[in-house]
Amino acid sequence: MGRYILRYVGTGASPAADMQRIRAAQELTVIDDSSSRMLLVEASEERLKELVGSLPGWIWSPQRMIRLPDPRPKPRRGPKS
Amino acid sequence: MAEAGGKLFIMLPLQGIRLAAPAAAAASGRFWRSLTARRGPAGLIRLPAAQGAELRLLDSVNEYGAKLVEIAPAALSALRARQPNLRLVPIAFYHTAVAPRVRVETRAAATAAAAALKVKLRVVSRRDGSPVARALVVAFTDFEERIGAQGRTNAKGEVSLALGSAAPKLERLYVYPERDFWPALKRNLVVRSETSIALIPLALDYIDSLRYFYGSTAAGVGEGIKVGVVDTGIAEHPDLAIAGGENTVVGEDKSDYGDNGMGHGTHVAGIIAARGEPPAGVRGLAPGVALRSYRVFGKGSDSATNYAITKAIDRAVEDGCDLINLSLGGGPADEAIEAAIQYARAQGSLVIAAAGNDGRRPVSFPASYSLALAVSAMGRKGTFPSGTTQAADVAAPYGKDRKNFVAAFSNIGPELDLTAPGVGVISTYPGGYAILDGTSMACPAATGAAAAILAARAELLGLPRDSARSEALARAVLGRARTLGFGSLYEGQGLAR
Repeated sequence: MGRYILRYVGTGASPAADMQRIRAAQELTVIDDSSSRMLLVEASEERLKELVGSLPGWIWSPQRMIRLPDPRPKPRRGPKS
Repeated sequence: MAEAGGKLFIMLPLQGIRLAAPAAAAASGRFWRSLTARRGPAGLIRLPAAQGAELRLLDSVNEYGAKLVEIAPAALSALRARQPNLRLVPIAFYHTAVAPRVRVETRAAATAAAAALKVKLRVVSRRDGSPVARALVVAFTDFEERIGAQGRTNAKGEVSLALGSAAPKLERLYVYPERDFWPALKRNLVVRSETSIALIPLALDYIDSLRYFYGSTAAGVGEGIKVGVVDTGIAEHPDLAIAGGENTVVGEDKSDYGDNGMGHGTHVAGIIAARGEPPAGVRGLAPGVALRSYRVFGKGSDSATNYAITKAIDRAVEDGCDLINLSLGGGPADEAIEAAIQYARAQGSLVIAAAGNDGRRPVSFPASYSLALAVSAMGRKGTFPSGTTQAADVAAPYGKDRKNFVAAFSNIGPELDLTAPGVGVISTYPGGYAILDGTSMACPAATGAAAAILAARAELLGLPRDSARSEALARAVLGRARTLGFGSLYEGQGLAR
């Protein structure tokens, strides 16, 4: 199980029927659906691929972390005595 | 190709993989359709009014379809400046999934005895010797190998570092105060317990790199422009007026779009829109803009999810932001963030992103995405005091004016659109003011400069919110850039102004 972004990239607003199908899908938990064209869900990758394959105009992407870019040098290891 | 080393790209319209009928009438659409007609011997196409910009059309699905083109890296920025609504996707080659070979890794070798030998340093104000608390002290006994130790000063301004000797020789010692002082850099320093480092207090009327290149800004500059800052949130500050925003971190209160404890977003916001007046405060490049905060970093966290970022871009677009500032990035390209940037462009908004701070590495994502405007960081000698960490950011190439340089930490590449000051920038910070460096600072400088340009272009701002609008905004911003002589791989079209 992992977290994935489901996003509608077709023209216009995301079809209500698609949103309803995603919310009702088995073996998938909707974590956040407060966006009009995107949801955050928890599911297995296989289940997600299967679902998105049947929803034209939708893409998926695994949730990942992006760090603040920091230009300051950092030690990689401590000195020996 | 006239220039060697052309790279292959798939050229796509703003949306989809085929030019739609309405888009065909726009400037980018006319260019798109004319490519086949302009094609010369061996597919070579010279682009009018774009010196040095030529491409080779290798294949085309049809007049309206995707095209495979070869473009020299140095010409890419010129093409993007003239055709800002084209997507240029680097061609990818896929390989079989061969199992990785085992590699030897360097092991950390600090011994217990070494760890026990600690040196105490003290950080104080040069003005009165008072202690500076919460300063990050980073000491290197071997800078090349990055061998060293780091820690934060306590309320007495003291920090103990395990440096493996009672009197170690430090190749470099960096001291980064949280705020209100310039950071310090000492080289080849033999430290003993109770060694004291004195920091220079920050004066808000100091001419830093930002003020050197942009001078002082009138109070209303930027009026009529809405700017979204997608970052760590923006703290309440006497120099900042926050018009609204949203926290898009899942599981947190969406109305809490203030600072998350990191200060980064507050600094970014001040570069764009601070309304103070030196010496009591600071002023950004477009103090008249309506500033909106979209917090994507959780409380106390220096990491954001692609989901929070994607949602924040969507929200900024829905709230009518003309410009969306992304002083963040790194890691592999992400389809969801790309889709959000594409959506922003289709709704008439521009996304401006930091190139990254990995030291001459390729432009990081999402700045590398062709529909974002990517910004590198530059600096100028004489705009920071001697003995500060900014001295270590000076590196070639130097500009036509030899005092100007591309910051050593800045990423570079053909994806760059603009450069802006990002070395030793004074701006707002929770509880005061701070000096920070990075493409994170160059990015809002470009955003602020863009806001100042666009505020004077009512005819563009009044256009319907669609891709023709964002294309016109991008042309207006990129058309005003001025080369500093670094070369397009380091500065794109030049200094945003």
